[in-house]
Amino acid sequence: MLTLQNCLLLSALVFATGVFGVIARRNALIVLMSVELMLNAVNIAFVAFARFYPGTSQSVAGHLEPAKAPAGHIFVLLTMAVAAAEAAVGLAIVLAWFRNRKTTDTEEMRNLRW
Amino acid sequence: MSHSVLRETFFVIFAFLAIFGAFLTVSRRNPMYSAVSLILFFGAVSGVMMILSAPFLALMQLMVYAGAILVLFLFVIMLLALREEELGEERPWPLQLLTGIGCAVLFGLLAAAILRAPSAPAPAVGGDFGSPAEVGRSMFAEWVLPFEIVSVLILAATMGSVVLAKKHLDRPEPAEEPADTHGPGGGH
Amino acid sequence: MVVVGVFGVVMQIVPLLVWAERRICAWVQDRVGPNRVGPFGLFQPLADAIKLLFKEDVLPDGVDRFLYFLAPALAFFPAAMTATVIPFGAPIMVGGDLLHLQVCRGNVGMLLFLALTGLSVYGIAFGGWASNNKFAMLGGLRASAQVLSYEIAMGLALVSVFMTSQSVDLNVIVADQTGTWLGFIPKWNAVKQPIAFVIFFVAAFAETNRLPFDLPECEAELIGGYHTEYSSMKFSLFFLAEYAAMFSSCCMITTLFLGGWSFPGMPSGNTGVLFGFLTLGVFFAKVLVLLFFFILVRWTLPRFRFDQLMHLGWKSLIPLSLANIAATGVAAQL
Repeated sequence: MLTLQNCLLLSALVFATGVFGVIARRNALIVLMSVELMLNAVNIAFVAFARFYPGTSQSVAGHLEPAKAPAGHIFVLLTMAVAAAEAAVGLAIVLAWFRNRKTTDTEEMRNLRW
Repeated sequence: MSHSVLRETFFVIFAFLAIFGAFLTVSRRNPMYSAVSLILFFGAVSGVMMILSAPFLALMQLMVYAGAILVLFLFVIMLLALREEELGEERPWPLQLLTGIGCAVLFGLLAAAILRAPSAPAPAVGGDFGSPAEVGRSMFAEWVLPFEIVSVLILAATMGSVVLAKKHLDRPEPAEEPADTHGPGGGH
Repeated sequence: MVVVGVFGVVMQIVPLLVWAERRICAWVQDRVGPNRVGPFGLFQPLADAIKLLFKEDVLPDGVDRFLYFLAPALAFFPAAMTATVIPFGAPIMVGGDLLHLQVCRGNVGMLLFLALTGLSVYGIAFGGWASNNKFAMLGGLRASAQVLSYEIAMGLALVSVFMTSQSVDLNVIVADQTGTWLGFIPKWNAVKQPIAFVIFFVAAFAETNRLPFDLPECEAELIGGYHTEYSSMKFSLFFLAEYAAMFSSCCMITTLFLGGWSFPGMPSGNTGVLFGFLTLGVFFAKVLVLLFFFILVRWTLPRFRFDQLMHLGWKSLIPLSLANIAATGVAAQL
C-alpha cells in the first residue's frame, strides 16, 4: 500500500531494471533509454522521501514551518534538466556514430578516433 | 470508496504499470517498441507522483520526459529507420541471464536495506504542497545556485549536441567556405 | 455533467467545423461548396461520416499492426483531453452548489495543456512509422521535429503570460483580464502581451498541423503524410483529432489572451444561470471568430518549406519569446 517502503521498493526495482538494460543490451538507443529508467527511479525515490519527510523551510516571516515544496521536489527538477541534457548529447553521439559506422551496436564503439 | 482507498488502489495500479513498462523497455528487441513502453512507464510514474502530492512534478514529468525527451528518441529512431536485419545481434543468453541474476541481487540488497528502514506515516499536507507557486518560490529563494549551474550545464549540452550533429567536423560548413574563384563550382 | 457536456461539445463542433471549412474554402475560392445535403449543406458532415463508416478498412502490407492500430487512438486522446482544462463560462449557482463550467479544476491546468500538446505528436509519429510507407514515415518525422520545436516557443510565450497574471491557474488568468482601460480597451493579455500573443498564435498553427505549417501531411509532396495508409474509421479518427485540436487551441487562445468568458463591462460576482449562459455565449463567440480566422488562413496562405519552418521556429520565435520574457520582467520591476 502507499507507504514509504513500497515507493522505495518500486524505485529500487525500476533502478535494477535500468541497470540490466544498460549492461545486457547492445543497442545504443535502448541503453540510453535504460539510463532514463534509472534516472526516473531516482526521481520516484526523491518524491517519496519529500512526501513522507517534507522537512522544514524558512517562511517569509523568518521562522521554520513544514516545507510546502521540499528539497526533493527541486532535486527532481534538476534531475529532469540533467536527463534532458544527457538525452540530447547521447542521441547526438549515436547519430554521429551511425553516420560513420552504420550501426548502433555498443560493442562496436571501441575506438575514440579513427 | 473512500478517498484514501482510491488513492491506494491507484498507487498499486500505477506502480505495476511502471514496472511492466520498465520491463518491456529493456526487453524489446526493436527500439521503437522500447520507446512505446517507455511512454507507458513515464505516464505511470507521473501518476505515482500525482498520488504522492507532487502535482507540479507529475506534469513536468509528462512534459519533459514524455513530451520532449521521448520525442527526441522517437525522432532519432525514425531518422535511423533500422530494418529488422539491421538491428544487430544481442548478447548471448548466458550472459544476459548472469546480468539478470546480478540485477536481482542488486534489487535484493536495496530491498533489504529499505525494509529495515523505519516506516513513518505520511504527514498531512496542505493543498498547496508541491504546487507550481510553492516549488517556484523554493527554487528561486533557496536553490538559486543549483538552478544557475544547471543552466550552464544545459548551455554546454546544447553546444555539444550542435557540434556533434554537424556533418563534417574538420571542414567548415559549405556556406562558410571562402569563395573559390578557380574551382569548378566557385563561379559567382 | 460538465464532463459529458464538454465531451459533447468537442464531438459536435468537429462536424460543424468540417462543414464550415468547406463552405469558407468555397467562399474564398469563389465556388459554392457543399449545399445539397440539408439546408446550406449542413448535413454534409453526417453524409461524410456514414460514407467513411461503410468504406472498406484496408490493412496495407507489412504494417506494424500494434502501432498501426494504436496510432489513431493516440492522436485523438490528447486532442479531446485538452478541452477539459478550459473554463468555458462563469460558475453557476445550481441548487446551492456552485457548478463550475470546467472539468479539471486546479492550479496546474495550464501545465496539463502543455503536457497534452507534447503527447499529441505520438499518434502522428507512430502512424507514420507503422505504415511501412516512406511518405508516411517522412510525415511522422517532420511532425516530431515540428511539434518539438514549436512547443518551446509556445511554452516560452506562456511564461510571459504567467508573469503578467502571476499564476498558472486558468481561472486566475481569466479573472486577471477583466475590466477595461479608459472604459473601452479591454484588459486582455492580447493587449498586455501582444508579442506573446502573436508567438502563441503562430505556434498554435504549427502544433495543430494546420496550413501554412501542415508539413506532416503536405499533400503536394507527401501524398497524405502520416495518414496516407489509413482508411475508413481509422482515417476519420485522425481527421477528428486534427479538428478537435484546432478547437482546443482556439479555446486556449481565447482563455489566455482574449479574456476567456469575461467581457468588458461585465458585472462581477454574478452566479445566475442566465449570466452563466451569457458568458458561455461570449466565450464561444470569441472561439468562433478565431476558428474562422484559422480556416481563412488555411485557404489564403501558401505552405512553408520545412527549412523555413525550422528557421522561423528556432531563429525567430524562440529568441523573440526569450526577449519578451526579459522585457516583461524589466517592466514588472519598473
